Amino acid sequence: MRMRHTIIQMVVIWSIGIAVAFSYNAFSDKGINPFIKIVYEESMKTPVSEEGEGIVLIDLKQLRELSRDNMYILDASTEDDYREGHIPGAILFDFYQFETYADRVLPLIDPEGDIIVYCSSPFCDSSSFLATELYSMGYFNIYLYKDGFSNWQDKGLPVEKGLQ
Amino acid sequence: MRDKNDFSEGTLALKNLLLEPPMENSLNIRWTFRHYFALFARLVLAAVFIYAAFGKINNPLIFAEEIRMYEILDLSPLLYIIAIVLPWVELLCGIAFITGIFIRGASFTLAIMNMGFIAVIAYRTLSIMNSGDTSFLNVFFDCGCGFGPTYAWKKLLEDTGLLGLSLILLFTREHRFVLLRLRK
Repeated sequence: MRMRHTIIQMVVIWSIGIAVAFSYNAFSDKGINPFIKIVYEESMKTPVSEEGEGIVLIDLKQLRELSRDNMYILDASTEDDYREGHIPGAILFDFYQFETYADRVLPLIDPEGDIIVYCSSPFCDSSSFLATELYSMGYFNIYLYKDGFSNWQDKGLPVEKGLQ
Repeated sequence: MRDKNDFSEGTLALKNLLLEPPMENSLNIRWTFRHYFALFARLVLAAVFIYAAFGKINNPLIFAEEIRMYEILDLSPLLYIIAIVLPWVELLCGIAFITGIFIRGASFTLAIMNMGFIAVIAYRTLSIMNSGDTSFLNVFFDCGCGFGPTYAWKKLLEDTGLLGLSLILLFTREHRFVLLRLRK
């Protein structure tokens, strides 16, 4: 009897948990669609151009090897962080004001071009969100520079300040 | 005329499952060490899991990436579903411990989950040790548990402690300050 009650309680907890989790996920800004097709690739062995090949995680070395033509660097952090310093040539795209920046920045971007996304440090999450969001909008050549701006700065690379 | 106490069978079954016997006045009954310990265990587990859950509930994508680091699950719907659901179950278990509703179900859930955590953390620790020639005590990573990166041995110790507390709660009957009490 005790065991049966324990199991029933557990089933109730899991059912409520699953129900609440999916409802919350459906309404939250940071909710994710579990069935979205995103494939992270650790290496750059294939040029990513075809639909569905995935977001590519790159490190600093790979970032510097990327060709400069038709490449866009997006800084997913906030305006204040961006003003304090960003990778030269990076365009501000604050993920948490997606609508505003989508209207402002996306018209400038060639969907066929390479898009590099980063934010302030390896621990910030806006770059991953922005990469996923853009990917689901049909920008398939996305590179995620996960180590972020702090890594760029630590290596003594040039930094640009202020709004462009 | 319908009697107030005339419960249908279903209602009665539900009532038996949830409410019986009526709540005792917790303060007037002598507290033994077991009562204090059970309350202590509930509060510790509740604090740990509610804190951990809040960090993850709003970042399912990041949590999914942390789970992916274990290299057990590839990016797949299953991974995302785990990342969405797991923090909520942790939160509910925490609430269950604080309120005293469904304590046994919650402790059983947490016992199973902690066994799972220990298994996957041990697996990842071993793979890090094999790949990098690191000694056991030096393995350091973010387990995605909600408390940031730490030494693997510490995490394993903590999780074993939490597993112990959940098992004790699962088998103890001496609960005080509970909203709902199961029939013994």
